[in-house]
Amino acid sequence: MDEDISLIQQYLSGYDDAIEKIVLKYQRQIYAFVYRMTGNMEEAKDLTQQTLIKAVNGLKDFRQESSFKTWLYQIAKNAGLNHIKQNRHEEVEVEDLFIADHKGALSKILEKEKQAYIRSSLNKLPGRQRLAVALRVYEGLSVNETALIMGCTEGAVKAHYHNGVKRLREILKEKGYEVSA
Amino acid sequence: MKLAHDELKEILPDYLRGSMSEDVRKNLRAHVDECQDCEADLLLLSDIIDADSVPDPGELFFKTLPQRVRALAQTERRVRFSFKSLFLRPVAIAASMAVITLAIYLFKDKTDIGDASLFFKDPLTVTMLDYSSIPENDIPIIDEYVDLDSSTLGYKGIGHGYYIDIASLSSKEAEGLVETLKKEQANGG
Repeated sequence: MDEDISLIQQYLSGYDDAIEKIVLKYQRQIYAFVYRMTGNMEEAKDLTQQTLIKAVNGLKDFRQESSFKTWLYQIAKNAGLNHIKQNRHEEVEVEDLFIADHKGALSKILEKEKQAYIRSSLNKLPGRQRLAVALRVYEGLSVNETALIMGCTEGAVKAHYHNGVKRLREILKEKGYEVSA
Repeated sequence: MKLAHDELKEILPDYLRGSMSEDVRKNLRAHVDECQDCEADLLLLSDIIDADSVPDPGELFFKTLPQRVRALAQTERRVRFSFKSLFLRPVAIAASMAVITLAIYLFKDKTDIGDASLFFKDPLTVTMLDYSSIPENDIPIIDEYVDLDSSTLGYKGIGHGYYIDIASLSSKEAEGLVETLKKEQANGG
């Protein structure tokens, strides 16, 4: 039997320790995921806790139509999107992140600048494109899992992902960044 | 099975993760070597992964989170049980409705003062007068429909006023009156 399902059944049978094992297994992934959505560490910590509590309280209603991991990511995604909607994050321009006076290898500085710019460019993508790219690239989820989390078809996921990557290339090209050789 | 360009482009993230079969991996690598578009995408995805920078919230956060989640989840579950289960269960709702309905029925019945006769039962009505011992000619003519409340009817005439006075007598008074009238009649009054 799937380990997650086994732990869930133990919890529902009254073995409360099982829930700590589930949290231990997924806490870092969920934290990283919501951080990539919000860009703020404190908010990501709160949302991680919120997501896991909500998942635990909803376990009796979990119908196993998808994997537990997918279901958990759905909760995290909704929590992240609700939070962003309520707080309307301002996007940080890459110029604010540029280390101007750092003495060191020029290539390292330029590399850091480029990485900061890539992160900023990701935040500029429309919501669903950003989510599709983040879930496929950062979380390593399959097209099917991504579709379940986003609540859309696999075709839609492919389209969002394709358009997101295309847009990122255009943004980086406009700035004069070429992809690494 | 050889995959088409679009299909290979879609699975580039899986290639970077190493989550594909060896055959598909070789297929994809061979395609990327020949396709500039897919090569550019692959390099961009590598840059995206390298640019990923998730700050460490500290080990204390991850160490204490499982216990916190467990404690808070149980607290929320208890609070929810106190209110939702009490007010939203169908049996509770049905019982509440029955009590409310009964209360309305009982209260309405007690406070219905539309019929004043509930509180002011006239001990003597025209129909209660016993005329069995009185000869027919002596029975006063009383209109059953006379309103005993003189303030609303008024005295339409001596006859009506007389009827009201007679009807308002108690049975003893009425008997006394009859005796008096008989005596007066006997005396020629």
